[in-house]
Amino acid sequence: MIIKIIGASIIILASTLMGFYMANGYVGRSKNIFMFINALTIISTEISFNKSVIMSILPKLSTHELGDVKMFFEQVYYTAKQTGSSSLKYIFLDTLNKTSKKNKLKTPEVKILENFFSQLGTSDTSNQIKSIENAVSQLEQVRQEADEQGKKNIKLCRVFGFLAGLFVSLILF
Amino acid sequence: MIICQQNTWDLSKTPFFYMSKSIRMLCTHMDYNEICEIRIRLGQAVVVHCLSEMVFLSKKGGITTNIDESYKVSFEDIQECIERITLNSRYAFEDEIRRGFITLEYGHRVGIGGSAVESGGNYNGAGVISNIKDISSLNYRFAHEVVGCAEKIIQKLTDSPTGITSTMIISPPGYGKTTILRDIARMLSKYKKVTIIDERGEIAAMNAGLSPYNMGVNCDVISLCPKPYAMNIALRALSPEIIITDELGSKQDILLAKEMALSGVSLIASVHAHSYEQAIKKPLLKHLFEEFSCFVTLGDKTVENIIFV
Repeated sequence: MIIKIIGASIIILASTLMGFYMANGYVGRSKNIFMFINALTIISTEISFNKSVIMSILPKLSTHELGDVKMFFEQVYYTAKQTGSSSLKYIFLDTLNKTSKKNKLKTPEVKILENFFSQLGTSDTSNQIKSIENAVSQLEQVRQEADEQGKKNIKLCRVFGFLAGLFVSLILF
Repeated sequence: MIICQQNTWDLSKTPFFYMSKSIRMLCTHMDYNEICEIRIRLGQAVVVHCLSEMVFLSKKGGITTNIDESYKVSFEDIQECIERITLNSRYAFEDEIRRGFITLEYGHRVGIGGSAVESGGNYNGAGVISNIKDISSLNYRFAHEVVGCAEKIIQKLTDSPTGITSTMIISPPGYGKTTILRDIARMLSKYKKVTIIDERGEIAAMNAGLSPYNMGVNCDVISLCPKPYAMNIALRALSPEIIITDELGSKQDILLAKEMALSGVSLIASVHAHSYEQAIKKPLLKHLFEEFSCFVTLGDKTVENIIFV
């Protein structure tokens, strides 16, 4: 009996954790979109006030609290440094594709960021600022949608995880 | 001949670094010290101007005198060159692009040819250049440090009874005015307070506050600053004995240079002209001549004549 109770507890615990993990995906998505918005704001400041080149902005981004998104910019910087590649655009897009799953990003925000990074550095200051503002407002909208979706699903995932574990345990009993 | 078996230069310090990969690879065995200019024009052969000859970049690598064997520049080459020159950040170079040239690290310069985009307009109907689009040609000018090339000039100046006086370096483009000015600064700053007004960032080629060249121990550099502002800063804050600047040309430059020469500071500047006689005929420059007492004309990379008046 004791073994059964221990087994059932483990199942409930595991499924609850699974539910929390799934819920975390929604929290992470919204958080990382917010971090990208912060990063874009820093880029905007560097472009408009210092006219810094992208390769000197990237290491500065690492000094800010950008969570998982920091890794994305670090990876772009080191890849560009190592390969000495002419086009940063392809490095940005490639790194974005490689890290989007890890950063819990979904198609809408990936598309916005792809669009933004393919235009980064290709025009004058005012157009760059417009492009950043545009990307930020689109990301804000996506983040709002992600938040709403998150609110619905986070609770559901957590409860569902626990209930699924409970259900399996009851069947086993 | 500008081919050498093994290059000894560091790629990142040369203009080759700012060229497209395909052109860069073909330039691998060139002798950097022999090259004065490389011209990259869309659909045309890459033209290499070296000290003694004009040749083409061969599609097999190295150089050739046969244009049929030359490498033809593609649209992608030009795009890649621009990406490398602007470090993938066009916004950071918008003023330079507007002015038609970008100064690279180590004082190398790239001239840009394309179609100007005009915006606005004044009462003359002439607008302001806001951009250069459809860039079709890039002229890479290689900066070299020739230590001691100004020795003859310094010798003459120090031997003259008036000492170091205001001096004008006269030569057509590409004859080594900037190299001479750099060496003059290096030599004079051993015993005088020298300020360099480096509007185009070519003389001292400052990068993050440091010059890759030996500019001497007593030399201040105001770089990438319009001459009128820089001259005021220099006079008020840096108390120089000698001011060195490049390419006096506009009316404002000349007025300020005249004021400076009357402020008890020796001015050493360069101007574009073929000879002293030609320079003196220039309508704007003639007002400035009375403030200069030494004129140096350059031949092809050498000091041709030094005139004291």
